[in-house]
Amino acid sequence: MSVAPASPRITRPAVVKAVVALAVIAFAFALPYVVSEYYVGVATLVLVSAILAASINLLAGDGGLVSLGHAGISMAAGYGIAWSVKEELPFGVQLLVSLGVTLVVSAVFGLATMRMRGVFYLMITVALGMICWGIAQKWSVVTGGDNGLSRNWPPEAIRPYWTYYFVVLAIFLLATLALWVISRSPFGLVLRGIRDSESRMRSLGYRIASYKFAAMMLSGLFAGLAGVLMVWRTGFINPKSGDFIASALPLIMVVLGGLGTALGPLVGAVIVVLISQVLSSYVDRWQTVLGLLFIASVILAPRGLVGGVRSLAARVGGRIGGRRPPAPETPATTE
Amino acid sequence: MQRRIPLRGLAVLSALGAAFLLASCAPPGASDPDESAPADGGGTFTVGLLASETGFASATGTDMKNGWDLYWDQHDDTAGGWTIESVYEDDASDPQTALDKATRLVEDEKVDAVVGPVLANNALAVADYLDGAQVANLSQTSADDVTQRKSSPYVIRTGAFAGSQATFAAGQWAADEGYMTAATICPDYAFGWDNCGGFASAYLAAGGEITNQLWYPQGTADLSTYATQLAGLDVDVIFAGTTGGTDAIGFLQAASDYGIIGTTPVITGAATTSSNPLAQVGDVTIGVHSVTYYAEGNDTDVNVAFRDAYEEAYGTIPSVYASGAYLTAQLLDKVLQDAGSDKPTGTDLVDAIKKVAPESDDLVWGTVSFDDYNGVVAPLYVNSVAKRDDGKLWNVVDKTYDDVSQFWSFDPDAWLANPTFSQSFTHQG
Repeated sequence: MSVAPASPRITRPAVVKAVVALAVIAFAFALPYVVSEYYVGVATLVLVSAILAASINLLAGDGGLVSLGHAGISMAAGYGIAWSVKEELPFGVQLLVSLGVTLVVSAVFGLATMRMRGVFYLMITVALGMICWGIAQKWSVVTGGDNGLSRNWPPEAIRPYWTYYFVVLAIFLLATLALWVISRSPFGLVLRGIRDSESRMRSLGYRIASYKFAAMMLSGLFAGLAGVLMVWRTGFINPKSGDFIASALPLIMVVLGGLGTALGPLVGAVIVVLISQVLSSYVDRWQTVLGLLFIASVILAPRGLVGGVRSLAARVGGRIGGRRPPAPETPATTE
Repeated sequence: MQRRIPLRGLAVLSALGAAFLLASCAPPGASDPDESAPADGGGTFTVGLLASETGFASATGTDMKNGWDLYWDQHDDTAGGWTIESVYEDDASDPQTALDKATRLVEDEKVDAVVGPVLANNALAVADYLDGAQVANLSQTSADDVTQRKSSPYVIRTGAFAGSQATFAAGQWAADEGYMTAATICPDYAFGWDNCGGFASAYLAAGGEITNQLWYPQGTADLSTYATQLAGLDVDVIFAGTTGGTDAIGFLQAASDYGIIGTTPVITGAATTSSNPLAQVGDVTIGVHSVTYYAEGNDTDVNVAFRDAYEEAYGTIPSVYASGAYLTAQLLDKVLQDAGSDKPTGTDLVDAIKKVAPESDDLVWGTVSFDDYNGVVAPLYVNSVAKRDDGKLWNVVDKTYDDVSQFWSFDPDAWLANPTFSQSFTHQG
């Protein structure tokens, strides 16, 4: 394992990465000037989905804790907004209500899963997600039931589709940066330690359950953020935003894009959203395409597209730069 | 470590700054907002057909598309001096997708009207969007509020009855037959609440008494536990309002297995006795009653012509969704024939449909008009399942209730002041 070299030598992979990142960001900024409202809306959806996927990525990539119920949290946050709009509460209060709901639901998720791992963690999160969906479906006085709640718009200033796109883009960049920092913080390193060997971390004196709880709360905050942005995008929410498929798709995005990579959720979101939104206009069996792509990715690039490209690049040009293994960073030696 | 942070961090920070800057400056010139009145000359009328072609409701989307296509195939895609151009979009049975696709139809395809969607939640969301975009929506959904609490001058329900409206006649029929007590079974969400709400409202108003109401979770396929409960009840009639999917098959099968069919009269909503559940469950369903706004076994000249053409084209008996799309096409055709060279869009199109419908005597549903809220007023048929000469099961009309409005015999203002149907608000009056 090569720890980052001490000399400030700029490596080729770093340059390539920076160029790719800048190109992607430049493309993202140019987008609203070249495509129609519909495609800007799709791009917004990509970014919002990527935030939700990134919240799962924090748990699954760093902590090895795969959640299949995160749409439950994001939907709860969305309903926080929608219910406040229905009750005609002021904007600040809407945000507070949504934050409160997010924290409560995340805490329930966290408490129920803090002593779980592996498939048990997965199953508990599935169950919790379905409970959220069930409540949204049944509690129609508050949630509007299956018919949902409409016209939950953000403030007028960010309402136009292109303004909203830039706002979401900014929030996405901030969220990605924050997650990147978290992932590389001592907290992130502990999470990775738990992922790699829970018993060893316990014997080192870490309170595993607390870390898992905290990770779920953090992840829940980002999921809640995605939920709010999702509602504002179309103004509409109904229990479908929190059903099993809504929880599964962001996980598919993470796996497709690259588990544990910073860009993976975005790459996955681009693929999944383009297939479900754009390709579906031309191909009736778009779900088959998505399924085949997912299978192919799991077989051919188990680390997802970002991981796959990274190891390919490492194989081709890795001799020159500081090569390092795709997912895990240096082990937690710098505590 | 320290080296990488500035590199990426700087990029992200500058990008952030740029994002906030851009968000606060002038709109991109890519699309100017005021293009809701397309002026694409050449006499083309563009219709966006928003249907659920994939997802759990895909059968409805296929039927809707078939009904629509059949009409325009028969009429060479022309109506008066206009050429009809149909743009198809799949909402994947998902409301968020439906909203995105509706945006695409309006912004990219510049459609003059949107037909669909069928699913209640999709349709409510899309109607709301089209109301804002000022594009006419010829809705095909059963969601009550599309033409009730959320009615809009841009939205007209041309292809379906409201969920509760579609079952009024079942309640009236049960009372007319002298059945004094009833039990109901419906799925436990908006569609089921509306379905049972219509039956219960009309039945109670006609003097009946409902002793039990069973609700099963959405997506339940095995209804045998509910059937045993129903079989143990001492009631004169049972109303079932399934969604027409696996729950319809499950209900009919269980009702047969536990001896309900044949001992207690059963009347269902339209979806339960649609062609797929009947074909799956088979002859045991013969004699089951249903209430529908389109009865395939109706032997009017218009319907026989429609039915025969549909069967020849697609090999199946037309469903309510196919008939709804066909009716919508008929109405649009008549409007465009009268339109001359001014393209009717937005509220003009809706108003023209409201005007032309009562003057027409060749509509596939019979005599059709529209109320002040753009809800359809048309006959409801009480049918029973019978076997056709070729062995296929279908619904034959026993009794017709003409001019059924979405408010039945109730006062619209009082109706609209009440909440929507739910488990805690099960009937009007």
